[in-house]
Amino acid sequence: MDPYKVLGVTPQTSDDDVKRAYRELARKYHPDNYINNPLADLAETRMKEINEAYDMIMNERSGKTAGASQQGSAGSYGSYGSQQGAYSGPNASVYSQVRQAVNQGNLGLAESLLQRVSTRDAEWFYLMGTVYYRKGWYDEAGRAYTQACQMDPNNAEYRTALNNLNLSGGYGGYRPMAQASMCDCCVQMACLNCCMNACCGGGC
Amino acid sequence: MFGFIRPVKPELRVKEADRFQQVYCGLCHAIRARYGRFYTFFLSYDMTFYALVQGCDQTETEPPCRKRCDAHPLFKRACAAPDEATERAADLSVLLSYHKLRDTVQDDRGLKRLAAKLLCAIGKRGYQKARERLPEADLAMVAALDDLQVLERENCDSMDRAADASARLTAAVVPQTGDDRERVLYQLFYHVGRWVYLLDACADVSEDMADGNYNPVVRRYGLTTPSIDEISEPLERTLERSLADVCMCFDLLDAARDADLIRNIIFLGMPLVTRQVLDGTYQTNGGWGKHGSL
Repeated sequence: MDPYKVLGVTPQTSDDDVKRAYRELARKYHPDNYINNPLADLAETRMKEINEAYDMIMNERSGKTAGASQQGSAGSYGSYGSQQGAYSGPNASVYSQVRQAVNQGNLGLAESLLQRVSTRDAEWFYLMGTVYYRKGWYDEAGRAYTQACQMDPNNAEYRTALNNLNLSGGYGGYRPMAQASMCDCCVQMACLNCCMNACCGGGC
Repeated sequence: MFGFIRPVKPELRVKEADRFQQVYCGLCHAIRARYGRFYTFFLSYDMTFYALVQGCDQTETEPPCRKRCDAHPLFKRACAAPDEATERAADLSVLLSYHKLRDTVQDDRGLKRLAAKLLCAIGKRGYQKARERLPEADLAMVAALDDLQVLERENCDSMDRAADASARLTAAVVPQTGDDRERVLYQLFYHVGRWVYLLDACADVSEDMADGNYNPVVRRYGLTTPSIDEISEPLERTLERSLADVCMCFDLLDAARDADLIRNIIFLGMPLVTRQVLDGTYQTNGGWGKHGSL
């Protein structure tokens, strides 16, 4: 592995710029963006490569031997796990099977297990929402999460799921539409800047 | 498909705009060489996007060749040299065009149905040829379309369910290679398909309500007036989710060729069209130029 290639920099790039390239890539492939995403494993592999490449470059530059871990990069990413809610209702055993099926990516099984449950409580809607979310059925996921939150307003797991959905990818996720509307703002700023320059005579 | 997928030209570099036109023309020539003139009339920006994404793992860009065509008979135009990706895109665009016609025959009435029936008959041979080349893609498309027709007939009120069938139809373009790239491409085109289907439904709300046709957005929100102003916020959110997934897939794809051009389409073009459709300012072809000239 060529660590410079992984980060898209050259051996001549300054430490600060390497750090910047690293941060940019880490933001892109951060596991938080890929929670419940069917491609999470690929992003995780990529994240590992980026961390390793960064460590290699930084170790090499500071003259340390390879393998000595650098503070602030590797290790902190990659494990997010699924925090199991403290559910203890009549369907507890089915629900834990459903969670397992979702974690293994077997959405068909998870869905058919859920369809067989007759009492549909908040947890049921939450899990159904998660199945929908994994499938990319975001409207249905939103409906199911909302239902779960209404039935059990104090459950933090349900609320987080609903917030994540509405935030579009959670922390660090893309907001494609926000960018589209931001352009207008940028244009206005640029125009304003021009006007200022005209008035103040080449300030900057 | 519908032509929603295209770059934002003012943000393109000149060489990228040229390249887009060359791939567009290259695809047209590939279709003509393989299937004759007829199918070139169904050429779209959407399939140009497909050709770009499908070929983005190549590291080399062959120098363009110059060719004359029906639309530009006087002067030769630069065309992307035919490669595997454009040829696959040509086969797929024949399959998709034919299925679109077949769908019109099923759904529409009157003159439109008659015209589609005629075109189907003319295009049948080309379709059979394309089906021989890509049998598994055709099977997946037929299955997805059948599902979609059932859902439309039963007036399905889940827009995700209807969009899922359409998205699977779009995702059928991805070659079955069994590797990670297939997974990424499948997810990418699934969400492109979901986005196109739902956005098209948003754009057609008033038309479909007037004609009494099935429209997933109308059914989902139980609309009584042909206006999406009140629901544009949740619609935007769900469309944006699919776009975010497309962006993330693209990041995982490691595009070696045409990365900036594809990036323009995904990160700028698609969000822009979404906004335009939702606030009602969308115009076919963006009001720019004419067919094929961006």
